[in-house]
Amino acid sequence: MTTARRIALPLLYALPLVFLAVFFLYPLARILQVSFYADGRWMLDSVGRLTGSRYFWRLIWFTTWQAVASTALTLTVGLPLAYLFARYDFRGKSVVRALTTIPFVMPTVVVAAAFTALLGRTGLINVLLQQLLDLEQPPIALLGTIWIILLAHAFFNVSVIIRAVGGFWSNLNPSLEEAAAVLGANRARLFWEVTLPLLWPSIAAASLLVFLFCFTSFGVVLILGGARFATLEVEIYRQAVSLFDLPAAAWLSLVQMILTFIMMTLYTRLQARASLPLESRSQARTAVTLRTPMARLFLALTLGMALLLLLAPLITLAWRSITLGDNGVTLAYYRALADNPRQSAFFVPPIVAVRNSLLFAAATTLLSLLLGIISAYLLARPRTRRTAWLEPIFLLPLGTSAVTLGLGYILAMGPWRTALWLTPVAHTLIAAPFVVRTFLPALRSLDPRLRESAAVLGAPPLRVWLEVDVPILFRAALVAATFAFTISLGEFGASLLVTRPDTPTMPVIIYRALSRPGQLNYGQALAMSTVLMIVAGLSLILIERFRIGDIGEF
Amino acid sequence: MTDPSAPSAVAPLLQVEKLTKAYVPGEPVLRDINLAVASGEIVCLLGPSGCGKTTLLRVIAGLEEPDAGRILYAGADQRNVSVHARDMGFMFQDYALFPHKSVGENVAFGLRMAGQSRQAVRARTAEMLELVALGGYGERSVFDLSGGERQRVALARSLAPSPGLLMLDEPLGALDRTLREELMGEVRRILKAVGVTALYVTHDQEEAFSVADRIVVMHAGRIEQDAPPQVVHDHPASAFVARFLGFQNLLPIATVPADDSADSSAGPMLETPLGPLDAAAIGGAVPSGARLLLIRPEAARFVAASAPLPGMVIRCVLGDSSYRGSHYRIRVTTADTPEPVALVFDVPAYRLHPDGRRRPVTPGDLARNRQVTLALDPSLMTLL
Repeated sequence: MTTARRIALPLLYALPLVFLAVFFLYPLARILQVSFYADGRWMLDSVGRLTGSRYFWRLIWFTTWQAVASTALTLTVGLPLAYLFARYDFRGKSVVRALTTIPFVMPTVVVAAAFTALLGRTGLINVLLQQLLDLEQPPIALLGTIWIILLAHAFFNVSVIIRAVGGFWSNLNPSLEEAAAVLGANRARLFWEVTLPLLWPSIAAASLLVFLFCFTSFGVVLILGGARFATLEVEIYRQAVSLFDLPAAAWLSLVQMILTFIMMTLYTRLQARASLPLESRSQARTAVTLRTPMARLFLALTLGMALLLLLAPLITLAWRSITLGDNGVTLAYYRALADNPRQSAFFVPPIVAVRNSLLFAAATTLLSLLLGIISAYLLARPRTRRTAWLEPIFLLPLGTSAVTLGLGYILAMGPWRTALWLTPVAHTLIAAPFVVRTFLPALRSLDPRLRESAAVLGAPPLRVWLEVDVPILFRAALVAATFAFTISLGEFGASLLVTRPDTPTMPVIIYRALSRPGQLNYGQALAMSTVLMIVAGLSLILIERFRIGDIGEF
Repeated sequence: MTDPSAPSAVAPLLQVEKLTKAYVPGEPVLRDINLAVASGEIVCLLGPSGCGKTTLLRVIAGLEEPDAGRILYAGADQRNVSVHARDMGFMFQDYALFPHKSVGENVAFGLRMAGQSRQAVRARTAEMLELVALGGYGERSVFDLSGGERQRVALARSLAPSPGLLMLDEPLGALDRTLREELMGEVRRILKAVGVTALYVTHDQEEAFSVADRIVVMHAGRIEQDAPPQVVHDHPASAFVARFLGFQNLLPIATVPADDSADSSAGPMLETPLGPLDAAAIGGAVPSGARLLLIRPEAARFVAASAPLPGMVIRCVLGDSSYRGSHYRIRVTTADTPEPVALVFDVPAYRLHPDGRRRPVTPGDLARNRQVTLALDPSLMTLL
């Protein structure tokens, strides 16, 4: 190794570490400090008062049970679908599976807007029922109830179950079940004693991930739940922004961080167990084609229903954005995005948010690719005692809530807290772990002999990288980039705290519009959500197009 | 054949001196390796898996750094020469063909790295594919090739830039038996046609014997024997080499009796578990420190119990026997020695009858527990 390399490599590897230290660990440390220490002394009494209050425990209790209920609902819907995808072959399977993934990549504000468009007071179902039954009042009042929160959470996360459990299920060797059947197990016992225990690690890991997503849910609860419901994440935001009680917000952030960190650790363990090569078989061998017309009809009906439920809110969103009001089909709300009339709640024409979002997303993509790929190379090196602690450090931001991060920036960044670049930096912290998790498996599966071959054939190190790594890992990098782009576009919690009023992103504008009265505001929210939905949908198509097999976790 | 220990007139192309390498401290994979390879020679590194032969190749190629020792190539120390700047080629066990490049692009890679003109690259690529009998395959994807074809592409790719020294790591290891036997001769033909100096790693003795000019047997990070194939076969340097080559009849011998007064025409007498043996019958001098007697499996012949015969006659009880086409492999236990000795022999499946005709040996002749008398030919014995 030359001297230049000996200096350059550690510098390169230090880059993500420095970034993490400045933009992740330092803000978190500030939160800690604000929670416990102010005016030169430890302030454990206010924290103690908060922790002793019924309000605090009610908050924890609600956050937990709504996450449990959401996870249960998600499993109820997701497991049968996972089974169908794992065990049956049918025409258009890959398209149908991709369609079920759409909700997962949708930004939370888009889903919230879509649910109001379908189930709100002036939502499509209420309008139809009122016309049909000639009612004066909308018959369905789900907004502001726990039900719409649970439904939205299930809607979001069903594809996690389908992908994780279904993927694992389709790789289970059918001979195991056949062996049990030959040994005399009937179908029910076969499921309980063979299939379920084998599936258990993947079900547990996927459920925990869903639970984690619901536990830290922000946009859905804030927008659809109304003032009555608050998860920890929502309460952190309210304490910080509405009540200006930063110590309380900081203490709640700390509690949430500890709980999510425990869950992340558990998840990583379960995930490692679920990815054990359990004598896996290729999917082609395990899936069967249905023969009888009845069975085919049943399959078609089930999948059709599932797709309808998953796509109805999104289709309604697009439909309502051009039909809201009594004027028939109109593009008025889209046109209004470019105006900033005096009565509008916005500081800038909403259309500017599209430009902001795209610029932030582009910056986030570049930055998170740079840091994520360097991190992946660092993590892919042979593990030694000195580097074993790196992996959890790099994945730590994955379990940290966006609102906490935003709060940390407000507390830690001083004069920079209104800087324009803070938004892509916050987005990068959220997106980079996804880049690492998408890119690292591809990098690890790259045969080191290919690089050695190139070197022996006369390629110097940089040339080896250009000739071997770049072309082979290009697709994985593209998928990672699309993830980063989509995450940045839809990011809501941190953006709400760190964007300046005059440089909002699309989700921030949608939230502002949704929380103001008036048909024009609502129509603009729907129009903007539709635009965001289409961009996210296009990203998904890109991801599906370039995904290599089932490499990567997402 | 050159004697590697003797100073040769021409300096060897590759000289490895006192090479040591340990992945885990205290568990060396290579211990004090000394090796010289002359220009144009094909040297096989033969040994069981884990003996360090692949590591030795990787260290010579610069893919691993040695802990101690020197590698001289054409007289120059390679310590500070990086992998890509060494004049060496390497063919990996599973070929490591670039999956994102076509067959032609794979072969052309090393030529492009050497900065050759596009025309020269194209011509040389076609020539190399021709050499390995894959002319016209340039446009194909490496995924469309059979195992044997991939092997040829890998060989063409590593030969294309004309490396001074080519290293091949189990080049036939991934192929099935029939194909492997077919390609053994083919690989030697190609290597000799190009005239490249080659270091060839294998764990298959048959492969080593058919490819090598010289065989280096390795065991536990050390070189056990470094000699031409015939010498390795006829005079294994150690019990390990003998066992690795498949010889099973290795008997301990007691030190030569100190009978200095005996006349010098007869060799010293050896004490073996089968009885005394005249060392002269085996072929002359007893190597100093010899402790084992190797009896080759083809040394035994059935004889009538009473026949007076030269050499060594033993009475045995037959154990299992198995038919191997041209011969039977029989397991016997000696009956007339102080301690029963288990031996394995290959006896011809046909035997010569007094009427001059050959008759097949029947399984009945080899029934279990039958008492037989065997004559052992001392010229098929070796002292180690």
